[in-house]
Amino acid sequence: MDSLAFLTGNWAWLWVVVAAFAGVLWGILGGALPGISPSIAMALLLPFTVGMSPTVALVLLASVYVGAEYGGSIPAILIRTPGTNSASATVLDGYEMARQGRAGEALGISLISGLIGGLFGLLVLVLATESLAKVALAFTPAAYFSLGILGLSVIAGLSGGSLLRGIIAASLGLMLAFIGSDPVSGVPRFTGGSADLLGGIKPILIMVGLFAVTEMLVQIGEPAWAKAEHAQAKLKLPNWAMSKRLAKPQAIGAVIGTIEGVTPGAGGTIAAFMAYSEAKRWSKHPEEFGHGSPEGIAAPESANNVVTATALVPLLSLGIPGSNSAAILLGGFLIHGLQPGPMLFEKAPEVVWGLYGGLLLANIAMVLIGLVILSPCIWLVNRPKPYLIAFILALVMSGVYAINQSIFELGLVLAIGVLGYGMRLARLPVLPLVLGVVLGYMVESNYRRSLLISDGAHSIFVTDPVSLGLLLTALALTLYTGWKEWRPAAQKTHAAA
Amino acid sequence: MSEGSNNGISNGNGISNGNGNSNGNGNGNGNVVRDRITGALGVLLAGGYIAYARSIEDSLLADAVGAAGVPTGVGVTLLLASGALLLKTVWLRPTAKTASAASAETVAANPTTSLEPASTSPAPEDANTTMSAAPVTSPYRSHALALGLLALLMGYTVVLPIVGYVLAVGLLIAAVAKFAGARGAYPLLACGIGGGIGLWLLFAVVLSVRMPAGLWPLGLGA
Repeated sequence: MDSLAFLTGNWAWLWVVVAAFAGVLWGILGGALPGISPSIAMALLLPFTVGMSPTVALVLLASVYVGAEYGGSIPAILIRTPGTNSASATVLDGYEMARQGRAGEALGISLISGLIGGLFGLLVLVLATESLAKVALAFTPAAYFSLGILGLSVIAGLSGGSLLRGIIAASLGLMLAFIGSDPVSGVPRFTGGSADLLGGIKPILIMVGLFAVTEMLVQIGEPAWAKAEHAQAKLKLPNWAMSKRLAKPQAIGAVIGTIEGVTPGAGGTIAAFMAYSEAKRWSKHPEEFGHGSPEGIAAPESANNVVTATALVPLLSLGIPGSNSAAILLGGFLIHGLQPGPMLFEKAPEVVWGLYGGLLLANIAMVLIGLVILSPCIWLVNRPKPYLIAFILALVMSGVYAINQSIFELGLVLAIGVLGYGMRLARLPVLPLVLGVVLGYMVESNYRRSLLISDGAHSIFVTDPVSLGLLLTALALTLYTGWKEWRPAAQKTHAAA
Repeated sequence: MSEGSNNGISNGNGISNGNGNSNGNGNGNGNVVRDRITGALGVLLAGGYIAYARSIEDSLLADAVGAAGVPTGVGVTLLLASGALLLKTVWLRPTAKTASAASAETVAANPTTSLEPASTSPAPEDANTTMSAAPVTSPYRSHALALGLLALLMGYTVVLPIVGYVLAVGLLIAAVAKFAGARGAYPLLACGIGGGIGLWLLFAVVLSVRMPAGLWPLGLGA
């Protein structure tokens, strides 16, 4: 009941409400645009959160994620183009329903399933994080170092499908993190003599560059998406009989979304596809799947909204973002001088509780806004793409300048955008790099602090039981993903099928 | 979205596999060449980075590890990983097998195959679950467009302090839209002027950020 005390204690909650509604609105619009992923929609808002109170800023960002998961299903259903990756599974039956003239029904199912998923995920988040964080309170510097290594190895192994490319990306991220003054002695490192780089490259610049600028550089070479028809824009909520039928696929989505959400590197898309195939397997009408089954929408849409909350479990409790969106949210924490992880519950419990409350509000806001937003979304999706690219870039360039009034940082963001473009060419995953950037300081400073405690003996990392456990887990995961990658291709096909 | 990956729509067909399926087995070959280049660049970068790290002079306050210690370790890691990627491309020659494995993964990702991949390309993982979509624009054209867009954005950073925020951002909007293929002078003009003034109102007035006024006689933007 801490959250109630927090909410009644001051008027800040009013801004939390505003942030939840504004975030969801922005998220639905961004999610509805096929070129804008939830992480880009969040990255575009990052510069604006600098002047806000931490709670309001984080609620805003988290609400964007919630809204985007519903928004993504709008073009998936109407024009067979998923607005977000995790809405890809929704295309399968959503577009079929739209073709049968049941687009409004499909959108209603998506909205309600999203609400159920979001609320379930929030429940899991609240129950899981605090107990995990209590375990983590026993952490020593050595354990923190090993936790960082574990986070890096998990993400490097899982997020790109290739361990080697993941390690390369993570190394690049760490290299970016080391630019600036040395955390122990203050010696400038890798600044090339530039005074502007002495303070290091802020994670926010790296995120905006990697997500927003890179995506626009890619999008300009991509063909435009199809147009949606306004005639379809009438949302219809499921009736009682339908709701009963949807309960099972929604429950399947909730369970799979929970598991995939707390697993770093998995994320909403895999959850949505898994929920789809499991719902089909357990359905009484599996033959309808692929031909406009309402269950085929309910399962993935509930799963990807569960992930919006459960992806925050490893972030809040351990400080490890398991997805791009969680990484941007971590950026939101860092801007306000907060480090997610066990100490967050000690240092800023009001932020954590405010975030929980904000997520609850965001799910309510998603339904309220979702009921009326359809026409504006269709209007937006039908705008010529060149103008969308132009306005998004104008917003990026203005927002980045607004952070510190620095032209140098504008150039930096562009350079990072080019780096992101190159990484896509090289098929390097982005998330390990972001993780390297945000964990670089934690890994290095705790490594050196531990060695100061142990007088330079590296044995401290294996004599500390928590540290040893984490390192062994990291080693096991690395070996496992390495083995998966290097075994013969024929076997790989077998596993994939 | 899955956030483990980036936007699948763009990642799947545009760049990552740009020179993909144009010829039967080309996908595997293209990716091997790509990995080879990535590995070689990684090795070069790691070498330069380690050399740079070793040139850092420590102060008297330094601990045993020193300012260069951890970065050197990361440089070595990058060297090993890039080297391994490079060796892998030499060792594992592209075969039809790898290509079929990739397409099997794609099928597994799309439980029903009633989709035309060109429009949807749902990619649950990253680019390595290759989409079978044929690229609509050639990769070279995409790169040229990206380069042109970058030039416009760099131009903005140069022009911004000179002409001030309102004009610079209005020009940026119009120029980018035009470059991206917007047609008609009238909507371009309207978006440039409307966007410039609208964003100025948002940043300078509502958020009271000091945007550069430049040589703007009215001092707009300050």
